[in-house]
Amino acid sequence: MSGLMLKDILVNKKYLYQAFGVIVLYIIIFGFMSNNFGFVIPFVILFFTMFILTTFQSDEAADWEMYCITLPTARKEIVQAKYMLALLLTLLGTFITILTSLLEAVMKKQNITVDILYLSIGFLSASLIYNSIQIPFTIKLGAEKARYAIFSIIFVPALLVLGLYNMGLINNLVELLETLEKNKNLLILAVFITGLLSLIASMRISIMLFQKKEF
Amino acid sequence: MEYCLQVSDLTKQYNGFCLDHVSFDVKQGSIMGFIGENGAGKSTTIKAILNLIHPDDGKIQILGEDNTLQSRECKELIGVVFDECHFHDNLNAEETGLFLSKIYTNWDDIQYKNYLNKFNLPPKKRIKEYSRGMKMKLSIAAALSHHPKLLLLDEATSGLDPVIRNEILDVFYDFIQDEEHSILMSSHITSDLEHIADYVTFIHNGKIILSDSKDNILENYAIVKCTKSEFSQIDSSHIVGFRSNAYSCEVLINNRSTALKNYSRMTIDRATLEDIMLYYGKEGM
Repeated sequence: MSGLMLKDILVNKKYLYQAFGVIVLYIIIFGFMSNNFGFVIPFVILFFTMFILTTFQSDEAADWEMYCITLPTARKEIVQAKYMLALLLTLLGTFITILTSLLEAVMKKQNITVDILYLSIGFLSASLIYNSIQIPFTIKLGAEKARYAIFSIIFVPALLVLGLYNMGLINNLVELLETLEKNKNLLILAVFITGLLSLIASMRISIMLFQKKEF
Repeated sequence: MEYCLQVSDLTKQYNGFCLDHVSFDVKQGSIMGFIGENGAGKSTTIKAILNLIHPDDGKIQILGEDNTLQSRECKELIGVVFDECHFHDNLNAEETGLFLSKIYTNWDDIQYKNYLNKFNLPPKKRIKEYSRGMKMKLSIAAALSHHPKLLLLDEATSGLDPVIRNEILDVFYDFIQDEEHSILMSSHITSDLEHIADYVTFIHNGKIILSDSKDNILENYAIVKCTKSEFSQIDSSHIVGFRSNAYSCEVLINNRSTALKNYSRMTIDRATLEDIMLYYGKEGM
């Protein structure tokens, strides 16, 4: 698995260098200079979230999967490597945002609040959920078609909320969120666990899809 | 182990094509040429062997293991070269060797570098900038650098010029000097297989037409050149295919020794593998 992850990093190192360059710039301009880490956090995590799609695109361009299956790696391992890399890079992005926020607070002699932590973990969880949807679609449809499929389902949660509002259930939802807001720690933990569980479930689905795939 | 690869009744149905009960064996220590025209089913057969497709029926044993249950140890002993290089264009040979060394337990970095030297492949040049021949050589270097026992080559020499093809065939010939090493080489370039193969299996329209030692095939098959009136004298059970023009016929037969005795007045030439492929392909009867 480490060989496959190394392959993805080596193949897409240009993307990573560019991403790091832009991230550093954003952290300096919007973080340290404008004191707007609330904008920087999702941006940094987004860059790392999109990396996995980039690796799939590179693999498709080289028709890599067909060759990869002939290597001494199980199909299951090939899928697991993608998920592991997605998780590690997203964690790295989260760590960078937390670290730079703490650094900024220390440099400006400000109080360190947990809001940055909540925000980072929130976006980390959103990234895990996004990858949980993106990766199986990409394995099934290919990188290009998956992008359109994901775009068409991304509005489903919003439509769901609209539906709940029309059914009159939304008031209950608002009350629930207010209750959860009072227990922020619990909320963040719940969101993070949801993200992890969705990633695990997604990995099982992806392994099943990839086992059946023919070349 | 007598056979490193055994394919039995391999069947796979597609729309408009069927791999129909394909069976053949590759003896350990030999080179099997797997020959057929474009679309005959060579690549489909190799994909089935490599578990890239799921056959409808049949059994495949590689190095003594069922190919669907292939252990990691077994896959370590198989080297694969396809007709295209599947390494990413923005890698270089050094980076390719680096990640392959983490995947193969038996990876031999010294041997890999030796092959890069031998093939004049610059280790830091991006694969994007390699010629087709260089890409193929890189694929071969990677396939040979983990001490495989079985090489599976799917049209590995197609699209290459004769100089590079010859160079590559020499590498395969060196590989086979170890009696524990075997090669299954699919190709429609019959001259390559005449040069190097010990055994030849012909596939046509998804069916195995013949599978025998190269020497037996070249010994038994012949082209009989005759007039149209002489054609009727030829035993039809020996006729594989024929082609005719206004005045004469050329007939491919599978019993050269009998022909030499019975049709001494006709011109009888040894058939090449290409002739056999052409005549089977034409289905002249």
